[in-house]
Amino acid sequence: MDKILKINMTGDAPNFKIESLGDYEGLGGRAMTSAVIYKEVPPLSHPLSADNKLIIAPGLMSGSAAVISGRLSVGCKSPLTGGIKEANSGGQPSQMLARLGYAAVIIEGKPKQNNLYKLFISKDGIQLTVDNSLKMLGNYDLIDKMKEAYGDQIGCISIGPAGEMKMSAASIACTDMELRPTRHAGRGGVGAVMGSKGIKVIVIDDSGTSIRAPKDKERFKNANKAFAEGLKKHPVTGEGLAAYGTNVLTNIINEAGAYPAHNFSFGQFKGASKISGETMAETETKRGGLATHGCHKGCVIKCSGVYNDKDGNYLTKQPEYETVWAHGGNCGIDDLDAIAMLDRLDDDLGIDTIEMGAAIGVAMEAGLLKFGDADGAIRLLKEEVGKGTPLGRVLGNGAAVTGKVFGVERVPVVKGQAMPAYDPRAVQGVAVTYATSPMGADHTAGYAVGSNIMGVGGKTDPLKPEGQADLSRDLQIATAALDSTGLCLFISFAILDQPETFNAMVELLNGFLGKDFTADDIIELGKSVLKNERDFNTKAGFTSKHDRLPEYFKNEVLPPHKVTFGVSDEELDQVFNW
Amino acid sequence: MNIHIITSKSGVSFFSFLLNYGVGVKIYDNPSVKKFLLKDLKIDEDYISNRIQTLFLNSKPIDNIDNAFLENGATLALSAAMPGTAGALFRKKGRYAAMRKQITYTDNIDIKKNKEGKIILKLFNMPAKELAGIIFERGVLIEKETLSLFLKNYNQRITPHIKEIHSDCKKKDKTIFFNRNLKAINLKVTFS
Repeated sequence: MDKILKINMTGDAPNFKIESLGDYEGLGGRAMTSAVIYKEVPPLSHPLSADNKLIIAPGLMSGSAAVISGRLSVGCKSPLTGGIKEANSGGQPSQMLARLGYAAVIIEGKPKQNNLYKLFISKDGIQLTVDNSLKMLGNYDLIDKMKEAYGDQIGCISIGPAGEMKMSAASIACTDMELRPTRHAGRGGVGAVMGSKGIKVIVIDDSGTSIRAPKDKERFKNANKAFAEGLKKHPVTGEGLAAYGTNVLTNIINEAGAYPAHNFSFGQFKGASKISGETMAETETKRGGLATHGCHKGCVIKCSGVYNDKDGNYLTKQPEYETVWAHGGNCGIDDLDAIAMLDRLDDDLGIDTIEMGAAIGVAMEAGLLKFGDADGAIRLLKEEVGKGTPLGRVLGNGAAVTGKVFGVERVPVVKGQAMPAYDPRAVQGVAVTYATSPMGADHTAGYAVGSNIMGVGGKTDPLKPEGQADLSRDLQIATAALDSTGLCLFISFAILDQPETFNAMVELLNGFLGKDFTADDIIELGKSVLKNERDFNTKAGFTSKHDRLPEYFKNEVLPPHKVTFGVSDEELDQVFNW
Repeated sequence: MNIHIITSKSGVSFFSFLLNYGVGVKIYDNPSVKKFLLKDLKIDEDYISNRIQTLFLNSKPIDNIDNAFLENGATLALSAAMPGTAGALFRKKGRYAAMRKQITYTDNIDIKKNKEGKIILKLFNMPAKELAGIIFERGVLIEKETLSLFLKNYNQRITPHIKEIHSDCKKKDKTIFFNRNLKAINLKVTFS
């Protein structure tokens, strides 16, 4: 990856140029997107203005033979939070862009006219053309049209109607191995920024390219083998995720009393077992779908699946835990088929499942629907959000806007972004990450990715009740580094538990890049990413007051544990004091 | 009512569904979780140490199974290691246990002592599949609501696997198990 594709949408005739990496040499994924935003986007710019930029960056090892290295980072100033954003997606495009040599695609400016463009990238060059026939197409129909036009060896990055309507919860879809728009850079409204640039779809054809070669073939090959073996032998990455997907967490989090039910009113949901990973895997298998499936080539964990309807026809990919929770227990819905339909609609409209589920939960709290009304939730999404009615636009702009419009106090957001599926009162260490992450409430910002083995924060006794802030900081640093490599976060357990697998991962990176990075270098990379992000947010007007949970988490007692959020503001302010 | 079902070997795995919802199991003399798993359920010690990585007693994550004690009416849930940050922090003695310290089981909890009692036992994911044979061979109590759900979902698929059904030590027609009017039952499942 030795070049950057810059698309300038300003003026009557948008244009493009290909540049060398310059200052961005050696960066990938989140490190790349956050560096570009920090350096090139005015912090006080409007997220939908010409000044904002949309950066699409494959991870450092994407396009190589490194297993599970196909994660794509999408960054911009977020219309949802007003701060910096990196949203991460699986699917095929990361590998394809990387093989074409692009370390980033940067889309800037804003078109003068109300035209919709498609961008075609192949080894033979770039085509940027107006195609207004694509207006308001759902992602599924859009991809079918792209297949007709370009064949089935392509990958696509696209927006649905939500992105075109510039809804703050709009996502960017990436196609999977079956060329379905099922993988999404979901969070923060990145789809709205793509919509503001007037680009509907980026079609990538990597025909005629070859796999990216490592600098040190032998070192890379040996490390890749050891890394893959480490992932396969671990019970989580080699077994649990493959058998049940991420939704295996439903029963566990519910049993722990940390499952936010009915818009964060309760810590347990009576219908949890009906929508659990175990039940879902059973349903998928029974209907001829798949309980085990990868989202991109080279994945050895295979945490996804294929969910068929009652007649055995494809409906959607296996909904993830966060989606099942957001549209399920959070809204009092215990019907897997309804949740799968909501997931399909989210993917087609191009909207974040967490934000949408949270917004509907807030709307239910306001009395717009009753908790548990699955048909009503489907109608809201299909008829209101999908058609861009005034109510649909309120919901499509997320939980915070919905709460304001309907006068609801219990709105589970930080920095304007909805919380994921872990109640902050029951798991307060995760809540510290929700509060302090530069991204807004985000469960993937502080992933358990082996900070112990990296030695971030030193070695500590696991049962010693040390500061939640210290643990959250360690995890956020480790996660920021991993998000830059292109590796999937789900490798976390294997590298957490198996030092030899962590070493294999570092060797893999070194073999590929021909470097001798140490764990310390990886920590420094993570810190530098977070520093860029924090500095950008500060310049955008964020202060320590934005690193807080909503007040009601301190006052409302969560059953069954009868706990409130108790981490002090002073401790929260120490998270980034490294 | 006591029902003993004899199935094919593969038929036992269908019953793991019931374990997700919880089954009633008798306890004696307030055993520790370790003693209950090892001595009463007869689960292999290595399996307890290595496979069962996540345990909850009355929704509280347990770190030390020697010092967590069962009382009448308690709910014990068992799982393998789970993904994500939440999976990591709920593991027994996990690196991130401090992140959920507010809800962790502490060994100074007073329990009501009884010679005999009943707990709800829940098993999730891999342990549910892998331990179904041991648990059902021992015999468990199934509540009506759970049984109805089970029969609704598995009626057709499980029937071919059932070889014999005995009720109160007498061989009965298979239909006795699929009677929707059944109330709570003591269920034992073995295979041949």
